[in-house]
Amino acid sequence: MVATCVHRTARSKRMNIDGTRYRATFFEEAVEHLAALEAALLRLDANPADAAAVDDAFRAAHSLKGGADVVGLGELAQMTHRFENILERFRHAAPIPRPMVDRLLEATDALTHIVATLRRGESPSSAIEELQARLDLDCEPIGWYSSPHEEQPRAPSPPDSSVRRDPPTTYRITVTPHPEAFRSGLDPLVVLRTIEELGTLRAVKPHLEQLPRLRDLDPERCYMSWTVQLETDQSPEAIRQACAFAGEVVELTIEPESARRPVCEDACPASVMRSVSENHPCAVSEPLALAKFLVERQVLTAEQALEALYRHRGRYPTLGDLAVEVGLLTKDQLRQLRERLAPGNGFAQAVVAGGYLTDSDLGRLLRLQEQRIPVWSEDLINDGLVDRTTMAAELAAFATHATAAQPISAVAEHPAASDVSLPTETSAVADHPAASDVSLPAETVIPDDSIEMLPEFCAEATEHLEAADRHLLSLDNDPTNAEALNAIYRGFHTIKGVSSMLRLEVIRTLAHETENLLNRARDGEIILQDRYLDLAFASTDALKQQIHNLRQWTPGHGPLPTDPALTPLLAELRRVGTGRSAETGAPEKPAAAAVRSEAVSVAVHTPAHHPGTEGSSTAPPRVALPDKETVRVDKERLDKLTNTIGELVIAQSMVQQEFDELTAGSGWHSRALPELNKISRDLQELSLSLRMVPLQGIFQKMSRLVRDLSRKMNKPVELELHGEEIELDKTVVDQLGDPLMHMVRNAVDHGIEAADERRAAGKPPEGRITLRAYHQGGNVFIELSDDGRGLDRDRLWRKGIEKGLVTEGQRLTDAEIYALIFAPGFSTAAAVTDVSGRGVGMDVVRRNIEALQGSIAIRTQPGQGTTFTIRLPLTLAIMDGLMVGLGEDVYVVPLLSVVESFRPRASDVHLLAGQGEVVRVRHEVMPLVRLYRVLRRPARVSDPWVGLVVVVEDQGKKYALLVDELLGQIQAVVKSLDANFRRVEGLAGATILGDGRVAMILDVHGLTQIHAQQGFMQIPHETSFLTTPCMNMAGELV
Amino acid sequence: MNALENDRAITTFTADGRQFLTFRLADEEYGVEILRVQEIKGYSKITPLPNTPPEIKGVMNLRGTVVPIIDLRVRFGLRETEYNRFTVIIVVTVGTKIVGLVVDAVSDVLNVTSQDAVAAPDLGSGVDTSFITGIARTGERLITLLNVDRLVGFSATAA
Repeated sequence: MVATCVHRTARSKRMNIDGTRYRATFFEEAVEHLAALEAALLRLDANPADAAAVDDAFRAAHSLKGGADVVGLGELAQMTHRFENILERFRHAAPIPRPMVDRLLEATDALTHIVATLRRGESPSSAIEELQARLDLDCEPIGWYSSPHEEQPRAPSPPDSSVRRDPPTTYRITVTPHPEAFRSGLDPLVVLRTIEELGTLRAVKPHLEQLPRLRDLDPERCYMSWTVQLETDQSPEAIRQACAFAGEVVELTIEPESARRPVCEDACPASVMRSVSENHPCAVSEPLALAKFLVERQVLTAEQALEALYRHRGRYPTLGDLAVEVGLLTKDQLRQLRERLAPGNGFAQAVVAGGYLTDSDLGRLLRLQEQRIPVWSEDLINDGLVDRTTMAAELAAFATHATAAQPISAVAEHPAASDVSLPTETSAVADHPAASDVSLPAETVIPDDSIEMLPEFCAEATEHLEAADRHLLSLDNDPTNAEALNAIYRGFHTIKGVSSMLRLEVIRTLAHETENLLNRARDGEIILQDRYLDLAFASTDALKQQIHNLRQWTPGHGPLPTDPALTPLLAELRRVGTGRSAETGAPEKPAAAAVRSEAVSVAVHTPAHHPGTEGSSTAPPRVALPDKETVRVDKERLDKLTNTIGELVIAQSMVQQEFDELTAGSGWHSRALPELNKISRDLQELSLSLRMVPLQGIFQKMSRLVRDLSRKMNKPVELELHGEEIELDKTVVDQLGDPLMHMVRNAVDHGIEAADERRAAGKPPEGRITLRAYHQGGNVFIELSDDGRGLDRDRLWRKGIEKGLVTEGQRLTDAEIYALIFAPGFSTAAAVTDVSGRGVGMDVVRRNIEALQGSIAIRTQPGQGTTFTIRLPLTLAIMDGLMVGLGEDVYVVPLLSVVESFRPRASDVHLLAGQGEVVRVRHEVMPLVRLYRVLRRPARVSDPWVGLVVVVEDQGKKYALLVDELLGQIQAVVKSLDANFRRVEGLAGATILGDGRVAMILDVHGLTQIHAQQGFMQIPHETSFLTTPCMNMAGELV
Repeated sequence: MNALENDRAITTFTADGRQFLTFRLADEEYGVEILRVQEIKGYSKITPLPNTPPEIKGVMNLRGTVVPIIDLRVRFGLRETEYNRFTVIIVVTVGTKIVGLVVDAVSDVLNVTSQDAVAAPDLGSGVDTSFITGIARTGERLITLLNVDRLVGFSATAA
């Protein structure tokens, strides 16, 4: 005993360690889940009726909950659970009201905050309280709708006194499905949804009091009823009509909500009584259990048992008769009541509502009724189905079974294990769903938005499955190991959650069914041994196979076919998991048990897949899968790796160069060197790909921003996102957030007009902002366009003059005028109030973009809108450059800013009086920037027509950069000068050339700045090379 | 300003004596704290850095790292000489940065205790001695001890 205890402690300790070890991973994931949650909520905000968005939000919350649970963050799990509950009630009840979305978003923020706090290792108690308050708030006005899912809290709903009763009319409707409702194929939830469509649901309260203990629960029985407050302009008849399809199966009472009784007062003695009585071991559950037992012992046939049960039910004394008997009602009153009772109306409700009885009286009556229920075994004897002696023997055997705590259903399964077609194995439940409802989609279409998360999911799932295998093995040795069982359960639960989020139906179904099996084991209904253990192993193997298939899958492969071998396994799992003994080949029925409603939804929208053969679980062979895991690495190490590989590439080219020099003319060739070259290039590419992240996160932030802004400014604005999947270096993406935010804010604030103004201009009142990312020529372009008023050229011009940025006589192109908004100081308060006064922080935007080696351009059309186009390099670590020679030096011009290069004719170079040197390129005239002068370095060439000019673009303006010669292109590994020195104006950084020398990378913007500062003052001393005719031609150019 | 501060500096570093790498520049000997010296390199190809102060000779590739090179002759206002095969670059660390110092030749490693060192004399307000921590005597030699951080404060030498 002592030894066992020690053993246990050790094990639980290990579990804890596991929990913390996964915590870091969890936090990473939690951030993703929260982002997904936010994204879904934003989609909902855009379209409140978007059911898929609710589902997505739900899945994200669910995954977060599962994860928090696994790593032992109970409080977080609990919070998320409540969140989930709120979502749950909208899951089938879209549209979500806007204010609710707002609050959910706030709650998401609070959750994010909690996660961040937990991540820092602090206690988020205050945040949790705040969130709790928020969630409580959320629940109040709409009531607590819990649909019958497995996680639903059994706690009674909070008092719902705040229910508003606005005209038209609020009805109080009770929906009481017949206990056998499921068997008629009716899902009572459909009735609720129908009711909901008729008006506004003020409150929905489920009555869970009748739920028996789990071991007594018959998944095919409906134990629940609901009270709904519906505000509608429909008449009660119309409501009844709408629900007519439910027929007799669902009892509906409709009464105007005139009584001041809020729904929740139902937590009254009557219901308490009810729950007590239902849980009484001798109550209803026992006839069922006994019936099963008798059928299994072949004392009765299933049909007989069922009939007997119905008859038995009919012999229950009615409440009315009992009331008369004990003197609570007179016979006359009862008669009146019955006459007034609408068909299908519940007696109990009517009698209380009519003021005949109090709740407590009803409770006492219910207990009395309980006591008066005839003993079913007596019934059976009286009906002549079983003789008294047999019955006595059977009852004794039944009692033994019951005390042995060996659940009947589990006993039943043993003989039925592999022989599923024996009709004699039928339980009292004659027509339970069988293997035929195990339908899987024939193939899984993997949603686009899931693809990028697949690798992570696969890695995670593999980890869980391997852990499950380990724990299953330990269960094999020690079946009582609850810790191991829980660990396995959690693993499957997480897989289920995530696969559900990724819409991987097959995996989800499989995980779900296995979870059910494990759940039964957890509840002590079955012991995971032998057959059950094999089954569990088979499902881990099957899941592994699925994960393996998923890994092999690439987006080009189309849908993922479903392994037909899964169907029998799933059938077996479902049979065992729901505690049914065998199948009879009955037609497919909608799910009965609450736990299975999820599974049904699979069956409904996917083509049924009938297995050709059924029988033993044909689990796929256990394959040892190659282990492919994701590793989260801190950025510093990654940077070091990228750097070191960069050095390797340089060293490699140095080796190559030395080799070439040494063997020059000898005709020697190396076979190894080209190979080395290729490998180091591959390595470099690989190391750079490690740093790539999608734009998704930052785009999502923008949609949140647009939403908040549009709400705040009361300006309806829609944001369209394209190309979120485009990947960029993480450094670039991280630094892109700020400028993009400024731009989006400007677009909403200044770009989009007020709704009235838009309407007046004949535009739709909703503004539209499009954020689009795409690849082009090795760069990434990010376009932000609005359909607002556009930039006002004249106003900008006047503003520019006012600010002294331009002078009256200056001739600027449109692009140059628009570029004025980027000028620092242009974004003053005065500019903001200007009609076209964009410019809040636009200088910051440009600086940031340029710091990223990018550029930004503006296109605008008055009245039509404005488009900003940001061009960015894929990465900052490597840059394509053009090597140019200047004297003895080599410089690298970023290819991103290079337009073209050529040798101008002497007649194309002009000195414009007082304006500086220009070069004419076809029909354009651009300033000539002499690199040697800007850098103050010696050059071999001072005549443009002897050297070369490289046309570079800076902020939409072109410059002709005079260099000595072109040396070729280079993929430069960028080294910052700041690292060991400081920023140098005109230089973007340095790189190391193939020969080991350092070459400077030019910063075109910086160069033009220097050029502008240097002005024309020095020119006269050096302009002797400018020929006189050129200067004379100046006139025609002005 | 410096006498007091330098005194303090000397008292802090000479408790048990420190080692200095000494080098020659023109006809004088200087010392830098040896713990700050990362390596000593022969002169190799330096890429000039445009638009920087004249003492910044440029940058050098030190095993993949771009390291700025400061010519101490220029820094001290001495006559520049041609670099030859005896020209040496002392690579020192300044905070997180790595900087190369061009000197004429490296002499030896010297143990300096508080007895050996005196504060830098006040040379008048026109002379900047802020980067001199003290002067050490060994026999007939006078060695100027340099404070690398003050010598290579990039923010101060910014163009």
